[in-house]
Amino acid sequence: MALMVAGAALLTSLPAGPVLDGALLGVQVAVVGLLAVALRRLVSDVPWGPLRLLSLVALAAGLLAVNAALIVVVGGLVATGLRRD
Amino acid sequence: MTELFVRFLVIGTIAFGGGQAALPLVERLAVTDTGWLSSSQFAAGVGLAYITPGPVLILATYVGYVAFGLPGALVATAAVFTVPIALAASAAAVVARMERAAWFRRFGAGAAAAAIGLLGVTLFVLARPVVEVQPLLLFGAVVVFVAARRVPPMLLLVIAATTGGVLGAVLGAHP
Repeated sequence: MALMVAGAALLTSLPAGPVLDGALLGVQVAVVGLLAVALRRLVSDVPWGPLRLLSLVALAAGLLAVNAALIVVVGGLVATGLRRD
Repeated sequence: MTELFVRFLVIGTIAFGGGQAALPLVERLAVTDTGWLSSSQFAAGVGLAYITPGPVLILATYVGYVAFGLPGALVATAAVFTVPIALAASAAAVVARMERAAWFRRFGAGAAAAAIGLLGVTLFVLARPVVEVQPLLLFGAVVVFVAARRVPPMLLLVIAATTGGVLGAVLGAHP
């Protein structure tokens, strides 16, 4: 937590400018790549079938700006109605 | 501040599937819904969460700090970990029994699957501004995607930040 506070304090205190903008953009590019890696791994852990379909429905609902917490809870409730994982 | 506490309490309660699966909830809260953070600030926070020890949900500390300063960091951190810690510490037996229950496992699997879908939305939200600046930058994300199998995330983030900073200095604007 202390490291996160220190990091946030550092980032918010740095003077705005092209160097900081470029660095943040670089981090954003890297995070996109890292999240893609995480997404690929997580998707591969979901078995083909209703659960993977649920992921796609959640993706569509998320793109339509449906409340994220609601999507997760409804996803869980739908899955409890499934006969098997 | 109350909204910060309540929202992170909810996120901590429904964060099935691990921290990365909870990232979309944090992104929706901090960027899309409230505008407390820009997408680049959020990405920087995710980067920090990757390179600091502990769960990715420590991102709550960052969001709280950027939005409301140190009090916000403390409130968000307390909120996001309250339910998991309470469940683990005071009701371990109950949780263990629930985890054996088929309905609870199915609920967790469904919630995690939904969260994975939402992670795709987060990826889209973070990639869109990059494309708007310069579509070719997505090639950098592909490089990271490929390199992540062999290179630690921390090193990739440092290289990306350094490269971006240098290009920003040289070009005097967004690379």
